[in-house]
Amino acid sequence: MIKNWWKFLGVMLILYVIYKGFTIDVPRLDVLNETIRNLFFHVPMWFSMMLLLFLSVIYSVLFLANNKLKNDNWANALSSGGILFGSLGLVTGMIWGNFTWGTPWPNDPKIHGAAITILIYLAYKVLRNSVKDENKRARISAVYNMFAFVMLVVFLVIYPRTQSSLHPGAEGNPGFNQYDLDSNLRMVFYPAVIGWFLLGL
Amino acid sequence: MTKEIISLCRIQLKQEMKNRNGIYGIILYVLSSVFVVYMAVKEINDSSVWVGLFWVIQLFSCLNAASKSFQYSKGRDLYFYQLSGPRPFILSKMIFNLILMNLVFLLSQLIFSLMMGNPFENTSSFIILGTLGTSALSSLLTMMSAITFKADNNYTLMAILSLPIMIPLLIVLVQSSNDIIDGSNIASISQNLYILGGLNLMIISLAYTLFPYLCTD
Repeated sequence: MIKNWWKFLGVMLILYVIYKGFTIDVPRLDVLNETIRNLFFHVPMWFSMMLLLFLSVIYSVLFLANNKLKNDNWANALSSGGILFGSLGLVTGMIWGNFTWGTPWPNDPKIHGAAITILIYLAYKVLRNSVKDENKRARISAVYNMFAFVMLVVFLVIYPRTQSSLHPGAEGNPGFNQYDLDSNLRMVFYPAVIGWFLLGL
Repeated sequence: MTKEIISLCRIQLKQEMKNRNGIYGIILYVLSSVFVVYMAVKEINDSSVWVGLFWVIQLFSCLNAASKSFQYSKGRDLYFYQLSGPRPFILSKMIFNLILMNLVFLLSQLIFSLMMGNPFENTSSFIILGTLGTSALSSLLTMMSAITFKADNNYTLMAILSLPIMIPLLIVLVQSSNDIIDGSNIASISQNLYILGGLNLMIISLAYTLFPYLCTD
């Protein structure tokens, strides 16, 4: 219990978020309406996915630096967590999109980015499974992990800027910005982000 | 180091000349895939379809060409690798692949325009764009093929590893090709050209730093 205190803190925060998330008053924005509650579940998924994948790359670098298999295990486990959060993020996004946009898979740069992220990390898993020797596997997958992450970050930074997105907050769609995110929402949103982070770690 | 890279490149060229089925295989791959597409669609009215098909073919030809780049590495290449060290080795492979794939690009551009018509009024800027893009593709694929080779595995793994990573590049390329068709000149797509150039540099420097780690056995 004491050893894994952050897990319990994470679970507590998420329980709070689930309770609050479904019961508090939310501002009624046009188009979004009640579905803004998805902010508490969908958005933190992406934040935690990026955090986990980033930590995974850090551990890959550490492995290349000091050759300890423990670091490789961390990188592997963190990337699994990243894939899980990514898939959950896609699923929550698709449910939400079904009600807001009328289709679960519109032609949107952020969705493409998410799908590519998951593809890349699944490829990472395939690569890991195809090498038998532990040390060699760790080295090869660490190299691939770094390569993939850098390409991914470049992509996620460049690509959405070049195209317009359907997502709230872009191009004057109602949603995620300072004016709309009133203090009530913040009260739940920040614990949600921290809670999912802690659960992921 | 420059001297080593040049001599390694020359050795690779000699190897390819001696064992020509590699190069003929690549050329034939381009020819037949363009012809397959030609038989399937015959005539293209929509220029964005032209661009899409062209880049997909280009992508797979490069993938095919790059997957062969470490085929000698169990035998004679190992000796040269021991002599020169990992960094000149990977750089020479990259330079060789870069030249090879740009030739493939020019060839497929030529054949594609012959069979399906050329939608570009400004072909030269498309060639500049394509050369930059193909260079980035080739260095990325060389690195992926090194990873695949180390995982002593096959073409499937190579495709699985490189296709998702190449999508970002492909998107930039398709977008700017469409811009060129819509009448942009080289100055107005310069932002995309900078992105491609930057990607090139980044991939090469990543490979330069990471390849030695890949090779320590």
